[in-house]
Amino acid sequence: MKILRIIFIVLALSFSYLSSAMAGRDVPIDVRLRLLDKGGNQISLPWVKHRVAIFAYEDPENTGLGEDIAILMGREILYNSNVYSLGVLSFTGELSPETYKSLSYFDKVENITKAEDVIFSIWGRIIPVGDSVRVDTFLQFAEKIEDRLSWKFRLPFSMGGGVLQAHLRPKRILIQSIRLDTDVKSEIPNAVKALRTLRRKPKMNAKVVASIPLQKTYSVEKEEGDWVFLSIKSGPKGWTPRAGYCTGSCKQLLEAGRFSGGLLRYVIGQGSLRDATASLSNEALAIEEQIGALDSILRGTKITDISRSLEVAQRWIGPNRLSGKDERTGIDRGNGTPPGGAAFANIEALAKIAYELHKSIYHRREHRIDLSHAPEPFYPRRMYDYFYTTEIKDFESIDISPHYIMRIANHLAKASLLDPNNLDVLNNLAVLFAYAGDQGRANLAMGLGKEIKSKE
Amino acid sequence: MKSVNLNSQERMQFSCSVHLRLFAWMMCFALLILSILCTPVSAQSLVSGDVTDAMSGIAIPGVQVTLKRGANTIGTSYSDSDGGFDVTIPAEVARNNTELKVILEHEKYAGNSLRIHMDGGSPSETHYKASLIPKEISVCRIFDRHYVVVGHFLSSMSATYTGLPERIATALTYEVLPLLQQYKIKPELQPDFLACDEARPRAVTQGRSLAQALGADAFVSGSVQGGEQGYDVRTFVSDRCDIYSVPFSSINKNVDLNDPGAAQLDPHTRATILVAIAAAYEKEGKYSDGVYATNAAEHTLGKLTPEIQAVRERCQMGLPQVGLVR
Repeated sequence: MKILRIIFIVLALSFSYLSSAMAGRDVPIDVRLRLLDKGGNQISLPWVKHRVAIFAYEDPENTGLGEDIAILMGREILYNSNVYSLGVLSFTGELSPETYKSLSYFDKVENITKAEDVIFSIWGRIIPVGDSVRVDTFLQFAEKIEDRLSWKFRLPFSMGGGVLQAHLRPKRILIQSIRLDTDVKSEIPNAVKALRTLRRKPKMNAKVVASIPLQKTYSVEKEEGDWVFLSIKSGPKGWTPRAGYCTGSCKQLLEAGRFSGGLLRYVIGQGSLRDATASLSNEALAIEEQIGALDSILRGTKITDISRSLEVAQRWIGPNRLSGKDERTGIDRGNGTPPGGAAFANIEALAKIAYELHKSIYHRREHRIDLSHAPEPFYPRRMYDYFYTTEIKDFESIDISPHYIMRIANHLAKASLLDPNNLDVLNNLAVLFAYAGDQGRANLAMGLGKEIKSKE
Repeated sequence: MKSVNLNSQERMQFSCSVHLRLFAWMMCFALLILSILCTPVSAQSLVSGDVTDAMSGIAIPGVQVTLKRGANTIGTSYSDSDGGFDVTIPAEVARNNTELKVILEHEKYAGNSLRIHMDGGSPSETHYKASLIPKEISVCRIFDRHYVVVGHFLSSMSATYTGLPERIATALTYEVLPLLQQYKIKPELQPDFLACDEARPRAVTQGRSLAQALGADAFVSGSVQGGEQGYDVRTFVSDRCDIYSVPFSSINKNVDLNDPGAAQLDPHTRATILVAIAAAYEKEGKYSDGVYATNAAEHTLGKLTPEIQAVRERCQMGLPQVGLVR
């Protein structure tokens, strides 16, 4: 009986490993939305654990590349994000407004994102510019994963015990805006053709078995090197490449899919992010740096992790705001208000407070030795551990000067004027002003937060 | 009856006292008359203004001007040969400081109205300016929505480019709407981009009054001229809220008009339109949306211009979050 149970578990795991799928929906977006209005909702690929949606790229000037680019993005995520039990849904149809009162673009995508229970959706647009084309790729997180993209920590009871929070911002992201030369008009259809061809063996010169019909459901059954074995529902099976089919400009385009795949893996807890690269936007860079900074604040093992988070936040705000080409990635950071509005100002506030808390704990434990001269290994425990483990009593009695907290709050309050609907900022201001002794402003921040939330 | 004899000195004193009293009474009477004359209760206020053609800027005579309080008509008048008009506000209405409305009607024009705010028994403005749009361009109007009109592009050549406004409106739709949606501006506040080749201002400076008369946040028009290798497409953007004192102008040089890329507008133009939309939000009291629209303008342009900064600051001053800052 025990052996049988183990066999069953192994089979179940294998099934979840192999059940990555890509599904096409032959229902146009607007018909799908109308069905939703009538209450008809049946999610696609209900057997997979994680779903993402890819929409045909908007192609108002009829370059003919809209559906092909969506296929490339979908396959890149399906084959190369290394996520188990993943379904990639593809949608056709236009996202532009039909009439002057109809939903469009992000708002239209949001409704389908919600109805299909996906983690995020990807859509884009193709704009001819002279002989070349500009391709913009957007990623939009679903509301349901808001909690998975949040970071929280509680202040010690001696500071009121309030919870400070941060969420990833923005949630509607321009991942990439890339200008591709005219060759891409032939490269992309060729790449799609290669992807749609099923071969008997995982080799480019192997015999062709079939061509994958559009709007069909496929499952990835196994992998071998740069090839995957696909099984088409009620149809043929065969090998198709998962790399090397896209060269030149087409390859650069896939960077958006690669980055999105990394985000997906991170969000569902199956791995880490992929670094932003030169062809991506400063919004992608901001997202990558926000995640890094917030993870370091809450999950870092050394105080230097927190000071690094502070430094990362200050790359985007204040007098040390970096602009122009980023040294590491080659991405133009832009200047002025950063992507995500007050998100980096909020991270800066959290990092400053976390740093002070760490410092206080350290001083207590190490007989008030100045932390700035301490070697990194002196700080072996995560801040998280202090909240919930044996050090809890020590943590709960820590306090930071209310004057210092007031300075942090005043700074954050200014940032809220640039991003007035940012609920993290309002929540944190309510906590910080209350501790700093300004109950009036604490109440105002709390009231505004409630009001904005009720309108969402 | 008892008679009293007075000497000459006493008689003189008595006479002076009578004259003084008489003078005092007369002064009181005069002051009373003066105060009655100066009392606003008896004054009848005037709504004055002038009315012009929104496309040409030329005065329109014979416009029927109706003053209304709610549904009740309380005065009528017609514009004179210079387009000037006066309508009397009855004293009992002026006294109440209620909001009034002036309806402007003419057979060749689409109707328009002005809101008159009363302040201390008089209209808050001494002179109102109104413009009417010719009936043939009333199709360029969308009610109760934020929108941007893309009007006619003048051509120095024999060919006309009636399709250009349509293509520019389409390009603006897919360039500008996602920018605003990234900041979660609600669908009902997002602008529409309406191509309207019928809107042909006589001069680009008329763009503002056209935008105002149409109730559009911005008006886009332009011109096409032969260039060295292709065509030079010049675009002008006027805003309803007077952010830009002269229409913002940009030029796309050597454009192939058969190429779809001809309809692309540069980031400055898109930012100008976003600032116009932000100013319209601010006027409507949608301050946070105004701030986000300025963020979108800054983002698209890659820098902060004085206009973006000015509109942003005005929006920020209206936010309740101002109470958090010290």
